[in-house]
Amino acid sequence: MKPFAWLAIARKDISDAIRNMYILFAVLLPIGLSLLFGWIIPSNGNSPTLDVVVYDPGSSQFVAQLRTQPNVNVISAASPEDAQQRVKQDAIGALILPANFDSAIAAKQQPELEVYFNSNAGGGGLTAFRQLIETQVWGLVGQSLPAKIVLRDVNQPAGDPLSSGSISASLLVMILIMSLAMAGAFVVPTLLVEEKERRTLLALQVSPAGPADIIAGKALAGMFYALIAALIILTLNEGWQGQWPLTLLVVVLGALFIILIGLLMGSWFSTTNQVNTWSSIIMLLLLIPSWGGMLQLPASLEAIFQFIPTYHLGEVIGLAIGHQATWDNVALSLFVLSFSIVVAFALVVWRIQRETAG
Amino acid sequence: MPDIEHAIMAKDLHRTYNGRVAVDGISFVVKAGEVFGFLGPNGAGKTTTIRMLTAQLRPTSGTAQVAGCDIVTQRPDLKTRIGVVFEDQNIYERMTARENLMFYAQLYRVKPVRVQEVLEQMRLADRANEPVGRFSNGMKQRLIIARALLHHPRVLFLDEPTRGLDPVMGREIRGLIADLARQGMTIFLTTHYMEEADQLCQRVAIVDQGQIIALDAPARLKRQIAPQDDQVVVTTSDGQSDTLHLQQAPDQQKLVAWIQQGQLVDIHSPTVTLEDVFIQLTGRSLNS
Repeated sequence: MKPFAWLAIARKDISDAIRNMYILFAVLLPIGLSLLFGWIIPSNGNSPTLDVVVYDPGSSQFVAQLRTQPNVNVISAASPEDAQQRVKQDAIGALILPANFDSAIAAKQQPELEVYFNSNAGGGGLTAFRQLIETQVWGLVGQSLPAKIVLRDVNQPAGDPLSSGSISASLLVMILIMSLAMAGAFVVPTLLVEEKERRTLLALQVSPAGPADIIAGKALAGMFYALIAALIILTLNEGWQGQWPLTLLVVVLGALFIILIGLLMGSWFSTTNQVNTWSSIIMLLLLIPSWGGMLQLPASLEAIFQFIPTYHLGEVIGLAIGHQATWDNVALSLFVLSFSIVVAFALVVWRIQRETAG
Repeated sequence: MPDIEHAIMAKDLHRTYNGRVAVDGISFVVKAGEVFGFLGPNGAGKTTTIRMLTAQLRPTSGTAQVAGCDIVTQRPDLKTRIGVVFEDQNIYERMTARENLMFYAQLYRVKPVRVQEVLEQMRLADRANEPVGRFSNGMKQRLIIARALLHHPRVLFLDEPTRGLDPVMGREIRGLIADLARQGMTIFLTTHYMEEADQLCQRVAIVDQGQIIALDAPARLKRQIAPQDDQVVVTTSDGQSDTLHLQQAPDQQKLVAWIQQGQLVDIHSPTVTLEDVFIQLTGRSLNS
């Protein structure tokens, strides 16, 4: 293994790949979508006044601070049921706080903060409400998560809280994973197969770079594009919130897994046409499970998706952005992701050994 | 113990693909500084042999040393001592000539100044910053040779270096190879252009069906099938061409008559080519 060869190959691929229109498009598409997404969804500064219903029997500091927010009209509800009813009628959302909210926070007990919203309301108001929950509320209560937030759609049966995040967070997760899939399952196999098609791989094979060095170089180039795209998307979409170090860690793990899949594809296929055809299918297989929560798929399908590592990737990123990740709710997903990386790595090594035996 | 006198030593090399024999017990030696031709029709085993000698493929059995390195057990060292020009023009066409060479300079850990040297040696310096996709086939081939020379290889493998080039470009590349040979470079050349081998190689091996069927200097190989000393080829003014045996009376009379009638236009000894040698040895032509 020769790290100087990995770096040389990665540098060459990084500069050469963007001269390929297909690869450039694949890298820029998720960034473009995230820009579009940011443009469509109004920023908080342009938001209309939000009627937010609160049921706050303990007269918490939290609600007092919420009342100071611009464009937020806090309406007190007589009961949680009253709050739900108002959301169904015309309010954009409701917050239900327990009576001991302040004292529980002081005691670091993570009291439950229920958030109701009306998914049928649509429009920018609902999005603005969700952004308010995502960003401003976290800012009000400090860096660490003081309360366990439970999101509930008033149109959903009672006791069926949403798994995590909000619409904007879900879209961010979708686009983020799409950027990883584009870099891993399209750019990486294309880089490898182009070498085969143009027979430049032969020249590499007689150079000091061995098959493992070639694979490592391609993986580095893929990782560069995946991370650059992911970092841009996170920056453009206020993704550096919640538990961002965990978001970053899982993005790296997810990129590694998908890149290994891309390397397997690249070692298997011999033409770019094959890559174009199969990468679409493989990307869908990787993306749909990760979008499961957003797409509200049947439970049976979601149960199947749990066997696909990108499902767990989406779960953890969603939880981390929503500042709802705890060791208990991410441990399994992190294990599945790590185990999948080990298995994919073993498969890539097996393929390299077969190549080397030639 | 590396052999410094012999650049290549192959002993009983075999290679089979799924039971099909591609190379069947090839043995030969190439001396340091020699231009050695490896000739044969498509499918004769030339490319498989070159792939084994350049560490791209392991032999099924047999051994070989190239530039003092065993082709199986010393692959990493071997790769730094050989340069390979492939029959395909395999370069990164979106990159410039300089970028192509800089990339390989990094892989071979060669100083960047060497890139400029080979660009100048191959007369590409003035186009070095243009994307290779805009180059003519001849320029691309010169760039591929530049790439192969970048790390000062001890043995240069040239696999069909003039295939697909027009005659002018072909002559230019042959000139470059001749220059390298004059500088003492050991060159292993595969080609199916017999004239090219005749012109450039000190010795040639003729390969057919995975075996070497003849190995010698081109002149000696041609002499083996040279026609009898009394043979001449004559051309008359009506365009007729004939081979005559000067020691046979009827042919003597025919020749005298043509001379007397002023019909003789040309008379010369029959020329033998390496292709004739191949036909003589295998009973078929190179292109069949």
